[in-house]
Amino acid sequence: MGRIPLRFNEMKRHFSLTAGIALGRPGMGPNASLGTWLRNEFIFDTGTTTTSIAEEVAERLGVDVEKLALVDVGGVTGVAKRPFLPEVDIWFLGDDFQGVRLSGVVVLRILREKRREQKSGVRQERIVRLPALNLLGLDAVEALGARVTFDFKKKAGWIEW
Amino acid sequence: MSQKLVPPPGMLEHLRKFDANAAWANAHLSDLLRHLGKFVAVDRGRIIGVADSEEKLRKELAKHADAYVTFVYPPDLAWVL
Repeated sequence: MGRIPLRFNEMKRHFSLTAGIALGRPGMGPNASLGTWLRNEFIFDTGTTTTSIAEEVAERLGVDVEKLALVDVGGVTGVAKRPFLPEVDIWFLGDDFQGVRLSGVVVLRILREKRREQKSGVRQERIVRLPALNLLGLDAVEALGARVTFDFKKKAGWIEW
Repeated sequence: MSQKLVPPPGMLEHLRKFDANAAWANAHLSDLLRHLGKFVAVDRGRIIGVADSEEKLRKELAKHADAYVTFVYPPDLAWVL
């Protein structure tokens, strides 16, 4: 029996949670040691089947993202090849400090968007860069053998087992 | 339930501090929105850094390991993940 609280993120209007993330397998890059771990915020996304981390997070873990194998990832804009980081451990902050080893996570690239603007009568186009997100997917819930509750009235949620 | 993993030493304490910083940021959205389009770092109940780049901000905050760093998105942004 355990319970991980989900926080309603007022800025993104998503449910999110705090988790620790670490490599479960060495050799992912010259600086990627097994002892390295990071604190992170994950958005809980019921549309995600494979937990995903931002490229920046993978790099901070010491992973050489360019050397990772690519996998097909389906999203709202189509199917694209994305790096796959095998064997990742995630620890959840709840009433029971619970960790799971996932078979791997998808690494998401920085989001880029072209924006057209009118400045001083001149039309300009600039690239806006937004950080990629960390998405906790259904694979993590399955690994925990848990159920999920969203309470929009209370703006609260739980992963519990 | 999957195999029981042993957490790295000190992880629980650090995660609690990080989570408290994330909760503070969530409860002070109006403070964050003054820095729209920037990366903001929060530690112990205050904003301790603002920058255009997350990498730059993290370098400046090397002594604040449990700081919560977030990009400040427009509040009216529609999300489709």
